[in-house]
Amino acid sequence: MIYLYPYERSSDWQEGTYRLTVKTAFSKSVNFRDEHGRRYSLLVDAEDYLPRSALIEGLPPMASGHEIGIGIIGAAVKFNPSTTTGLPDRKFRGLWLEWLSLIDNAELKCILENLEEPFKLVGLGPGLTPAGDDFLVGWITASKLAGRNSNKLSGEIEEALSRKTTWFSSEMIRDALDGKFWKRGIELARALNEGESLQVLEKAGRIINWGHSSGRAWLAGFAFGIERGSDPQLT
Amino acid sequence: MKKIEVVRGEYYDSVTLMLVAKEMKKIDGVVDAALNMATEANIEIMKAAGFEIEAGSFSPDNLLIGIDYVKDEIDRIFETVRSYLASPPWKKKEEDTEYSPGTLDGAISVLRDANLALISLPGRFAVAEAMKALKNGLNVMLYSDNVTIEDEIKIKKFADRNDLIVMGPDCGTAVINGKGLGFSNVCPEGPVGIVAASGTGLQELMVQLTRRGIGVKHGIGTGGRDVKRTVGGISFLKGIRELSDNPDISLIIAVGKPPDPEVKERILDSLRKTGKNCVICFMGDDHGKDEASVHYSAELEECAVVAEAILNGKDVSLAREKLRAEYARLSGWRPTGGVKGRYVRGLFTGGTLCYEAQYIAQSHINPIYGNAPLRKEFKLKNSLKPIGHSFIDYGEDEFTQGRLHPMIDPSFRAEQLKEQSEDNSVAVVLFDVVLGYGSAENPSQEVAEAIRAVNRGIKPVYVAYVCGTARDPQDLAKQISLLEDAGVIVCESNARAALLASSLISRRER
Repeated sequence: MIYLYPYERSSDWQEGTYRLTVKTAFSKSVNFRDEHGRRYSLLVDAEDYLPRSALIEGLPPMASGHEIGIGIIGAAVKFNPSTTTGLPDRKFRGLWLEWLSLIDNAELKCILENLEEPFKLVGLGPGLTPAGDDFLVGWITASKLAGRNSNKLSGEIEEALSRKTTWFSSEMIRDALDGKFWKRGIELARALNEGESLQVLEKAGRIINWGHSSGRAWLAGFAFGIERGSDPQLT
Repeated sequence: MKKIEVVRGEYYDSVTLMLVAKEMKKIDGVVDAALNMATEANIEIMKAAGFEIEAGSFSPDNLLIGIDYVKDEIDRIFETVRSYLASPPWKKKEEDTEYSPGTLDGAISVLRDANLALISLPGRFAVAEAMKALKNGLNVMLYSDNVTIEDEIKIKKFADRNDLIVMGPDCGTAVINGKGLGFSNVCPEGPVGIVAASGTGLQELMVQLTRRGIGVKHGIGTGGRDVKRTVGGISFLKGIRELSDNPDISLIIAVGKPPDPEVKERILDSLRKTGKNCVICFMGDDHGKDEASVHYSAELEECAVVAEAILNGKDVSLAREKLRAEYARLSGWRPTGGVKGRYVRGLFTGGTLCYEAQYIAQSHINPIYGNAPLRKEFKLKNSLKPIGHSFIDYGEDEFTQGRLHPMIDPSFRAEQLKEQSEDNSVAVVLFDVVLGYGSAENPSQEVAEAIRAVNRGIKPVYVAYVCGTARDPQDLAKQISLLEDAGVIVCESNARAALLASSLISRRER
């Protein structure tokens, strides 16, 4: 078994030695599963930080099913997935309203048609992570980052997670419900909160170009969460 | 095998259509690929290229895909076209690319200090967006055409009441604080302010000023209809007031095709009241004698020469005389191989360049036919079949509905140039190449290739003008050299090119 030693980590990946199984391997990231089914990720780019992830200089060839040893020893904590910011500055409302229209097309219309029943969004639509899941994560992120309670939403979708979508997606949604987010989302939320236009454009650019439909669906969900958040009965 | 397919209910922008067609032509066995919206003009063009199209069966909103494929399984080629349309292969995802707002409200929310919106949408949507921009306190550059005269008047009046300006509709060029918008050349910033009711007229004037070391602070485009009686020069007059109030501007130039008489009077009054030196160039207009601060010119290069003399404190009359002497020498020039044929064909991408060329050439050759002739009775019945001396503007609406402007995609003009060159009655082919932001990356290349491909014993004489500056992205020297290597005589201004082309024929006629 090979052992890998990351040099940086997220604050929720505790020090120790882990024995994990490779689930999916890409050129810039590898996702692992532990014995309880939780996801861990090794990355080469700090932009891709997500809950339980760590940075490594390079990724050796790995295939699904391989067992890998990972030593989280002395790796500096550089990302806190539980960071929260305040509400977005209302001056950007014109911008997030246009993000709502990112799902108003033939490919993502399925999301638009199921907004009133969030559990139906689980596993719905195109993409490696189904676009409906990305939309839900954006929605939950907006609610949580603004300090709102999302119990109603979590109650509706949690039951559907284990049977209606992929393992990776369900982990992503569970993390969001636990108040743990991807770095890209946190940075956009911070820029929107601090009112920095150039930062907002840069951070939103990093999200919209993410994946085939993931970024667009996430932004639409985030915008939906902001707008919907004004009605506490619905979040 | 030539085959047509139609796509209904989907919209693709002209750039995508051009790029997909180019991509398809790279495939082994594809002789021709044409992707055009099914407008009447495009159907004619595709029929002329040999595609069988049933008349009256399409609406302009349909996309026609025409493929000429010498191998089997042509349907596979159409599948490739559709996959390219759905996901263009040249479109790379740039993770570091900033987000570009897709709505006016979105853009305003991140650019709170913006004071100008550039609107480029199909005409039927453009007016509502223009009004929205004006209501948000933004000046408007309206690139779109197909805006009704009633809508133009409505938005211009609203702007004027709110101390704003609408540049356009159909305004392809403007310069604000030395920065070009739309089609624009890289020119220095300086003490000149221009109000222009013509796009390539503004470009040519700025290029000629740049070549004389003179910079421009603002170049305000108004759209050609602004100086008609119905609109009354609302934007033109507002532009003059803005330039008059600007302390950085010491010379104002008014340029365009001739305004309607009452509008012209208002413009002249307004210019006189500025108290600044002014030069007027309403091409082909009966212009008056120079006044204390208002000078007149009939051509764009002359306008630049007069402006240069004024700014440098030189004698304007002497500057004009020097230019005339240069023109006289040029009109006496003859190519060593002589001239075979009878007619001049002017094939233009710039509307005002076509207009100015006709105005100059008419002193030497007559009549001049065209799709935008100086006199209505000389309008061609079919712009694809020129007769006699003909000057065609390939940027006219008939050629740009559902396809790119020839300054962006020069391929159709190049095809026409080859076809015209193979007509034995054609003696001289005159054409323009417009450089700058917005224009094709390498526009001379396609023309040069078309000239080399001409199948005729003795080719016509080619006379051209390259409207560009040394700092334009296409490399002016390279563009000129590409043409010269193909045997083209490249002149220093549009006026000189028109003069040379027409005088070659007129001397033979004499």
